[in-house]
Amino acid sequence: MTRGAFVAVCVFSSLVACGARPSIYDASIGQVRAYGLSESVVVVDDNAHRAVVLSALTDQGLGRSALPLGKGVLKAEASADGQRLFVLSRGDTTRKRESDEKPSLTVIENGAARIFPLESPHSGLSIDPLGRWVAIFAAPVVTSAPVQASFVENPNEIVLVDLTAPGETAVTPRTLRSFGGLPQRVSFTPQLLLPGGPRRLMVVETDQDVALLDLDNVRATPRRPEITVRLAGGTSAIPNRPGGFVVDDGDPTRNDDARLGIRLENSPNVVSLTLVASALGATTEDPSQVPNDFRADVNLADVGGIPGDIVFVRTNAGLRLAAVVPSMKRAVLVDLDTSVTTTVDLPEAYAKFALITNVVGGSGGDTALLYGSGGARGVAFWSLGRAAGQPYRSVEVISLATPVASVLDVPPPRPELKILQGTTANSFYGLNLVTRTASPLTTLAAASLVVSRDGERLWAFERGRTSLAQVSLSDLHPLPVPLDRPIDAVFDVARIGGGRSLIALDARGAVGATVLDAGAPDTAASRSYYGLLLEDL
Amino acid sequence: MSAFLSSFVAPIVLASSSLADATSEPARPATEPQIVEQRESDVIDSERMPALTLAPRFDSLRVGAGVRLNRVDSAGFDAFADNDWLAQLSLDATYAFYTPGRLAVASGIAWDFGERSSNARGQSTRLAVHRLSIPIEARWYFAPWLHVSGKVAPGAVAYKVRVDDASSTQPLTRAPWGLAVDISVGAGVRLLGGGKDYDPRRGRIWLTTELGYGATSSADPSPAPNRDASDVLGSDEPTQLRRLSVGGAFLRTGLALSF
Amino acid sequence: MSIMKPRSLLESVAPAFFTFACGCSNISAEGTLAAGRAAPSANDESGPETAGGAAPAEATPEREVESDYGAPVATGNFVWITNPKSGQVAFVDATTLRVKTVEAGNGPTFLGRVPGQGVDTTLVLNVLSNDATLLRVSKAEITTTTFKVAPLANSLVFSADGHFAIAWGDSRKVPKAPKPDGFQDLTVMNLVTGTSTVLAVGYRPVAVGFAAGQARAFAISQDGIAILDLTSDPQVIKNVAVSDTPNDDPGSRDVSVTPNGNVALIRRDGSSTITAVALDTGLRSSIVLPGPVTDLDLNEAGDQAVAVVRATSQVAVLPIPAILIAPTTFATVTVSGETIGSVSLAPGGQRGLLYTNASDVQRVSILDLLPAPPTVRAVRLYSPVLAVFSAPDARHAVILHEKTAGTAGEPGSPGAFSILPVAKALPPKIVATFAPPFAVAVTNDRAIVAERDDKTNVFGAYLARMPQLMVERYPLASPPLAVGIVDGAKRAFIAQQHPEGRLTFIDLETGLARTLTGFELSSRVVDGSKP
Repeated sequence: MTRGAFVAVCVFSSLVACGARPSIYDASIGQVRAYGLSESVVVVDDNAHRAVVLSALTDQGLGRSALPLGKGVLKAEASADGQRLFVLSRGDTTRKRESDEKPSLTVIENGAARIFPLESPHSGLSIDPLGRWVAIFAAPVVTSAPVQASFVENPNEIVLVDLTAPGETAVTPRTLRSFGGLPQRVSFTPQLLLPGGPRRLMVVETDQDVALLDLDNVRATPRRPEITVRLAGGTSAIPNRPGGFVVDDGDPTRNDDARLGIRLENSPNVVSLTLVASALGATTEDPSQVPNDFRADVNLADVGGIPGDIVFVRTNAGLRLAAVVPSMKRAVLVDLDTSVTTTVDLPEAYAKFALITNVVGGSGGDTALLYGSGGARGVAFWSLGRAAGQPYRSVEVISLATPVASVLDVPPPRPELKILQGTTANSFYGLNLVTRTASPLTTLAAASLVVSRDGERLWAFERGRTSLAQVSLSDLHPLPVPLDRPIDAVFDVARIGGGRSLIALDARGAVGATVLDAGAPDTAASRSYYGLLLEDL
Repeated sequence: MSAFLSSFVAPIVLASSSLADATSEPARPATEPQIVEQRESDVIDSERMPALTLAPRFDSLRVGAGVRLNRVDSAGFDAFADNDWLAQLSLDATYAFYTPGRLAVASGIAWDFGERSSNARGQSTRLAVHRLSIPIEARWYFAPWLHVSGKVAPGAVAYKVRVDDASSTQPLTRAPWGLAVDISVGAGVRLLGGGKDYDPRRGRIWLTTELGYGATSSADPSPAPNRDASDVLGSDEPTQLRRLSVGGAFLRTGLALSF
Repeated sequence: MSIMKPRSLLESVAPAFFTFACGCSNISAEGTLAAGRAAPSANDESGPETAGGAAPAEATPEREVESDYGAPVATGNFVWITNPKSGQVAFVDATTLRVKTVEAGNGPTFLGRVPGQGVDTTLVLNVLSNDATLLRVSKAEITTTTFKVAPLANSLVFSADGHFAIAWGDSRKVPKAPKPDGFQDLTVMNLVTGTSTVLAVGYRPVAVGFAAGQARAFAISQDGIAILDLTSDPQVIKNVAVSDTPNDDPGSRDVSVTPNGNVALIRRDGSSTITAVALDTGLRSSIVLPGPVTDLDLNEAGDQAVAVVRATSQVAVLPIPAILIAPTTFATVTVSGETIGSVSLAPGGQRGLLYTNASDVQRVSILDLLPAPPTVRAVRLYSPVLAVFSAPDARHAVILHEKTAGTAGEPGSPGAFSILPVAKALPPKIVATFAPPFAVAVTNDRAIVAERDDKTNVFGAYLARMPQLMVERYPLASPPLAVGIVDGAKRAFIAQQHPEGRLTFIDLETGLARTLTGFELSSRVVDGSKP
């Protein structure tokens, strides 16, 4: 063989060796999860380790871009204000190289991604409504949720991410003391006026106790311990399981009357915590810590049955904790100072409250909307100003054909509207809190409802089908806008350049979308997109 | 693949060897004419013998068929193939219009056609590539049965893209095209049809091989459903795939018939 | 001896509290009340009484209204409450409402405040483990000491200096106790040395007390008065007979012993004779009064006793100990036109309140013992008297009124109470209640009255201010069990029935009420601070 032949053989051999395409092409689409933000829709493409951001452009255009995500998405959730999407990722299960990914939290905002590396993977996420904190923890195991994120997980370790802090100080892990409980929910209070000054608290509800952590001092040195309220009585092994809480800051001129009300899922008692000043000169058992400047005084009130919901209300007689007890068809007002309860019989077994005083006002007291799906048909307006001879002014019922399963709020400029969705098929209602009218809208099939963030319209569609309709909230005028492709989700987003667009997602295949003008939807002017997850690979 | 390639390597080696042999054999020194016993068959009718020419005679027309194996550099190709190789059926027809001495310059037409299909994220994809070019080939004949060549083949490449995405009721298709030019070097060896330089025209079978680089302009393969206007709701937008080109090194081998 | 009648003992201890158990579940039938001194027994031959004039042969006995040891106890700034089920004793800081718990024995049930201590100290009887736990709370720590105690103990009494405590069984708190249960074992606990000694006294003691200034105690039983020597190894040194006839029916005896432990006075239902006994010598004297003595009360100093003869509406003032020597030398005051059967001497002994609850009499008489002879002033009320509770300074009294049934001309009332200015001749203020009054606590300028009706689920508390006589009502979420006043925190408390424990605190100055429910829960708030 001559030299030239030898060279030719080598060249061809090396050419044969390379040519494999990137692995992303072999990554299946998987379950499509899309999240609507205020100005975009984010499709989490876990198998491709990216998020595809869809934004509405003029003339029903659809901007597409991809942002990197950590491998193994465990959970994703959008903030309530639609500004951010939070994505928890597991990372590379086995890190063989330095370049392998660690677990992370990705925050997508304004088309950019910010990544916070974590020490270990977690499966639960809780977002601060005020946009500063994110709490990462081990989500309680439910059948539809991912299994435990790693071989060993400490469910009482809460990782707090401060979105306003620089990267190196943003992540603060905190292990809460535990008496065997597993965290079920992590929540954040608004600012409360406490004895030590205005504070925000993180509230962790486990399956048997409640812990309070001072967020404003979570990174303080010396450390301040959390306050754990053990709900199990000493003589019983059956834990009292918290089922949610409400908070009230009390008199704005006082710093010792902020309260939390805790509903128990398996007890007729409601627990109230009053946050008062700590004893002077108190010290901690751990010498490396300092005590909080507030403590929790516990009180119980028996409301006669397991409450479906609780809320702080203001009546002519002062602040009360209201509990609705569907099994007894009653509501109970608890005077937290004396534990004296006042019972209000209700015509139906309502199970939920919504305070609507800020919308409709209240003469001497709050006004609450009562609703529920447990055998209660319709809703009721409960006015809590005092009337002669009774502790409440009136309970006015609006009877509907179906129990109400959910209530959708309508943002300004129409906060007086609520959209009521029933438990049984084919209708929903536009409830006007001011006029106390309920306008039914009927559907041919069970409809999914989405209210636009600008409070101007509602979209109703049949999941998996082509039926779509816009309902103008100014006059409840429905406009059918059927598409030619099945709809899995719709998102009413702000359009770049002004106006709003509707993006209807079709999750089949590599995901498609149809874009219409949200204000004046016209399918003839719509644009259909296909294979969105095949782009930009 | 290795057996396929070895079939290309062997003739190249053989051609190289032949070239080497051809070049390494020392020139025979001039000597006195040798008296050769004539056989009747050797008697040449001088009246019938044509006039001696100074250069050999070449086959003018050649048609060939073969396989072109193209390595595609373009990232846009990944959607249609799980590797970077495109195999095409290659057909060409050339005519040597200029044959000064051992050189023959031929031109004609060539057509390469190939397809790849694959899955992109679970969705079926298919790409058909048609390349039509005007080859301009210069051959140098070391011997009547052996030549080397250099070729330039400008032309055009047409793509036919298809993606079967479930988000569309119709397949997503598109047929963009681009410009293409090949530059290659090669060799040919005569397999059948023998004879000497001055033999009358007859068909001869050649084995040709060439190695080169093909450049194509990139095209936007973004397919769309291409439904009837009456079926479209508003408008259908193309799926934005990466720009596609099939340029890259290639190897072509095949058989040619010359006469 | 520092013995006083249990009612007076509690009056002198701040906070003081009384539970008036009338018509409620924790009393025996027929309105017989838990009594700190001998109450009429089932064998009492006294019959019903007619209003005014001559008494019938068998008068309706007066009802004694006494305190209940089973209630919460207040010390300094804390209120202590037992949880027999969990074995924990909760103590609530009446100022901060902070709750802590401490483990006692098995079944901690009865509490008593230990007097004369520098820190908050209580003693709790653990009925299931037959021991008592002494609990001392200081700023730095909580210490406990356990004493072995004889079974069936359900009452506690302390020496004034807090060195000794005696746990004994009051058979009247166990109405169905079989006769062979003599409740004769007393446990003498030396709280300083941490030792306890069980001694046996006579059958079913009804009162136990200490002699002031001496290392002696006594126990009044149906067999007489046992004298206990506590100097070194406690022992019963003698038993003094209180009757010339040992077979005298013990159930009808009402025995009072002077604080110095020297003299005992015995009243018998239906008898016009009071027996005075010198406990050191055994000398007995009989004091004959004009008619059956219906009540006998001893003042705080123990130098005067007042006996009431309902039949003649007369009051006899007996000097002590002179009456032993001269049983006929005593002053007698006739309260003309009034029906009186009971007396309640105010602390200080200068005044007494004369009344009857054996019949529906809507009047009390104020007996002033300072002048000689004593004077009486009748005060009109507007509802029959049930019980009278004097403020420690004797300037006011709280009078509880019975529930009345309606008549043709007048509707009935669930109950009422009156606040009576005693020092000044001012009209009392009557306050109608929504339920029968259940418990009372009185200080010089405040009074707390709890009301309770389990049938109508009406529960409340009234805060009365003296001398203004202003009254505020506070509805309660649960049936009240006891009331008291925590002087150190200037708060009144009302203990209520609740599975998790409930206390309502009322600020005596501002009137602000705060309720604490869930002591066990409150104590299970873990905030990392040192206990």
